[in-house]
Amino acid sequence: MKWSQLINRFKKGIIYLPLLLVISFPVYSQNINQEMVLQSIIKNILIKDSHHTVVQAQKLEQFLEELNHQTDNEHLVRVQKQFVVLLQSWKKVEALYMAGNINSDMLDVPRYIDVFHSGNENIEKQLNRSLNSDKKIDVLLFKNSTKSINALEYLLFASVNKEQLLDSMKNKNKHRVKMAQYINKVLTQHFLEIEQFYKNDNQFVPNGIKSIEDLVNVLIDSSYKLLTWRVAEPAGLAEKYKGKVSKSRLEYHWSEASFLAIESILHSYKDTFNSEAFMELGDLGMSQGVSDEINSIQKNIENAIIKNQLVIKLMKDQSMPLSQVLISSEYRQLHKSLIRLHNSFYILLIEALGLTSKIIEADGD
Amino acid sequence: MIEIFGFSHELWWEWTGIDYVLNPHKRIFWLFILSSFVIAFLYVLYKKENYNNYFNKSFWFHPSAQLDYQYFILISIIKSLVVFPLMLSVTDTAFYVVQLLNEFLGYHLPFNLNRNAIIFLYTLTLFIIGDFTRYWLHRWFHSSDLLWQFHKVHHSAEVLTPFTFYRVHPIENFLFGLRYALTTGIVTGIFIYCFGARLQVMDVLGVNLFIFLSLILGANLRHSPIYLRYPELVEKWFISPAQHQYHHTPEGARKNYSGVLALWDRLFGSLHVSEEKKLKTFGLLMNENQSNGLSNNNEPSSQSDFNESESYKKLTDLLFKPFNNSFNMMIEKVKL
Ligand SMILES: [Zn+2]
Ligand SMILES: [Zn+2]
Repeated sequence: MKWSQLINRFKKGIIYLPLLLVISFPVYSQNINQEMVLQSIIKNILIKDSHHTVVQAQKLEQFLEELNHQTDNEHLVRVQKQFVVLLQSWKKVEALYMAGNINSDMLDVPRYIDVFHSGNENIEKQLNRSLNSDKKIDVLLFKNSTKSINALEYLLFASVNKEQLLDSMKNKNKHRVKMAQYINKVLTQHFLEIEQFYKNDNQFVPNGIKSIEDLVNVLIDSSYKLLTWRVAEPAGLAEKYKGKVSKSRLEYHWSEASFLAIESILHSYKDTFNSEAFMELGDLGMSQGVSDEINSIQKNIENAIIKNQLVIKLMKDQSMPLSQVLISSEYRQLHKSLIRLHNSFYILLIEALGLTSKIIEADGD
Repeated sequence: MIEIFGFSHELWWEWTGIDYVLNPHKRIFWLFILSSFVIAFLYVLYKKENYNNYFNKSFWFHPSAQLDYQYFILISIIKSLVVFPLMLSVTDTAFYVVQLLNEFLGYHLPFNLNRNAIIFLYTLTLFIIGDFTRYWLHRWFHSSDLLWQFHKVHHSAEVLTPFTFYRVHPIENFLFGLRYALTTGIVTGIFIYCFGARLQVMDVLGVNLFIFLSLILGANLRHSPIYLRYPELVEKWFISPAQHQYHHTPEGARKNYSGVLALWDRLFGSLHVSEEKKLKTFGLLMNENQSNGLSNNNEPSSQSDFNESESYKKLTDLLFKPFNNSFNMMIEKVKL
C-alpha cells in the first residue's frame, strides 16, 4: 500500500470524527447547576432557619419578661410553648449546621448551645445548687453547659408538677425565672452569631463541589446522631445500652419535646432534598443521574416523618408515658425507618462516585 | 430514551457492540483505537517497515481474527444479558464495608485532609490495588487446572487483534467483574469511612486517570501485530505490548500476567522482558498437560506439534469447550 492510499483512507475516517465526538460526549442538563442550588440552600435554608431561630428566641425573651412580672400558670404555659417552638427551630439549624465547615472558628458554637450527648456533666445538680444560691447569676452559671438550651429546658420544665414549678419560680425574688432569662439571652447571642455568619458568608457558594460534599457529610453525621443518640440509645436499641431503656437518655425529656425535635430534624432533611418551594440537592441529583438514589432518600424521609408522627400520636391521643413509648412497636418502626434513611445517604454518596461495574476492568486480559 | 423493539437504545448499543466504540469505559473506545493507530503508525515509520505487513487481508481476516469479531458480538450480548445482571454491585460492596467499619471501629467524623490529596490518593489506590488483584486473578487462571480451561479461550487466538481482548469466556468475565466489584468496593468503603463525602475519582471522560493514560498510550497494541517494546528499565515497571504478546506465545504463557504495572510480575517472579527477535506463534500447545501451557516447556514450540488452538475454530467451541473440558477433567479426577 502506498502513502497516498493510506492517507486517503485516513481522510475518510476523519469525516466521521466530528460525528463521533458529538455522540460520545455526555450531554448534561444545563438547567440546574451547583451554584444555583447552593445559592438556594443558603438563602432558603441556612439564613432563613437561623433567622427564624433568632426571632423565636427574642419572642421567648419577651414571654419570660412577662412571666417575671406575672408568675402564673397562664404565663408559664405560654413560655413553655414558646420554648418548644424555639427548640424546634434550633434543631433545624443544628441538623444542617454548615458554618463549622466553612469556617473552623464556628465549629464549637452548636456545642455551646446544646450539650445533648456531650460528656457527663450533670447539669441538674449544678442548676439545683445555683437555684439555692444567692450569688450573682453570671457567676453561678459560668459553665457553658449551664448556659445551654438543655439548662433552660430544665429550669422551665423540671418539676413534679406545675404548681411546684410555679412555686419554685416565685421563690427567692424569682431567681429561677431570672436565670432562665439570662440563659436565653446568652443563647440569643449564639443564634445571632450563626445568622450573621451565614448572611455575611462569601464562601459557601464559590466553594462549589466542596460545599456539596460538606452538605452530604453533615447529613450523614446528623442522620447518624438522630438514629443512634436520639432514638436507638434511649430505647436500648444501640450497642452501647443494649436492652436498657431509659427515658432520661431522650433529648429534651423534661419538656417531652423529643419527638417534636426529631420532626424538625427530619423536616430540615426534607427541605434539603424535597422542597417544593425552592431548588435543593434533590433537584441537583435528579439532573446528574442519581435520580433513583434521590427518590429513595425522599421516600425514606417521608416515611420517617410518618413513623415519627405515629409516635407523637401515642403520647398525645393516648397520653402514653415516655417509658411506654420507648418500648412500643411504633417506636421500633421509627427506629427502622431512620436506619433506612441514614443508609440511603451513604448509598447516594457512593452512587455519586459513578463507579460503574460495566467498565474495562470487568474484562480479562 | 429511544426504544427499538421494546428495548432501550442503550441495550441495543451494548448488544451490537456500538457502545464499545462510543463509551470511554471500553478499551476499543474510538479515541483509544485512534491513539493506538497513531502509535502503530509511528512505530512502522520508525522501524522503516512496510505497512502492508500490517494492513493486509491475510492478517485482519485470518480465521482466528474473524472468530474474534463474531465472538465479540456474541459475548457482548451474553455480558449484557447474563454477566452484568449477575454481577455484585460496587455500591453494595462499598456500603457493606462502611457499615462493617462503623460497627467494629466505631463511627467518627470524616478526617480532615486536603481535598485534592484525598482525591489523588483514592484514584491512585483504586488503580494500584485494582492492577494488583488483576495480576493475581490472571495468574490463578493459569495455575488452576480448572480455570485454565476457561482462560484457554483467550489464549487460543492465533493472531492478536484489538478484539482478542474481548475473546474471553463469560466465566472469566464474571470472575474479573467480581474481582473489580470487590476491589473497588472495599477500597471505596475504606475511603468513605475515613473521609466521608470528600471523595471523587480523578478522571478523564469518566475513566480513572491512570487507566485512561494506559489506554491512550496504546493498551490496544497489546493485542495487535505491532511488536512495541519499551526500554528494559521501563519494562520492569510497565508491561509493554511486546511483553503481553510474549504471554500469548505457548512458551511464554507463564510469564507477564500483569495488566499495567510490570512491578507485580517482578515482585512475584514472573517477569519476562522483551527480546529483539519477533515472536512467531501465538496460541496453545499441542498435547499439553491439563495445567496451563507449560508443563513440558523444555521442548520449545516446534511448529509441528503446534497447536491446540486448532480445536477452537467455532463460536460454540469458545463457549462450550471449556465446560466440556473441565467436566471431563473432573471425571478423570474422580476416577483416580
Ligand atoms: Zn491477552
Ligand atoms: Zn493469560
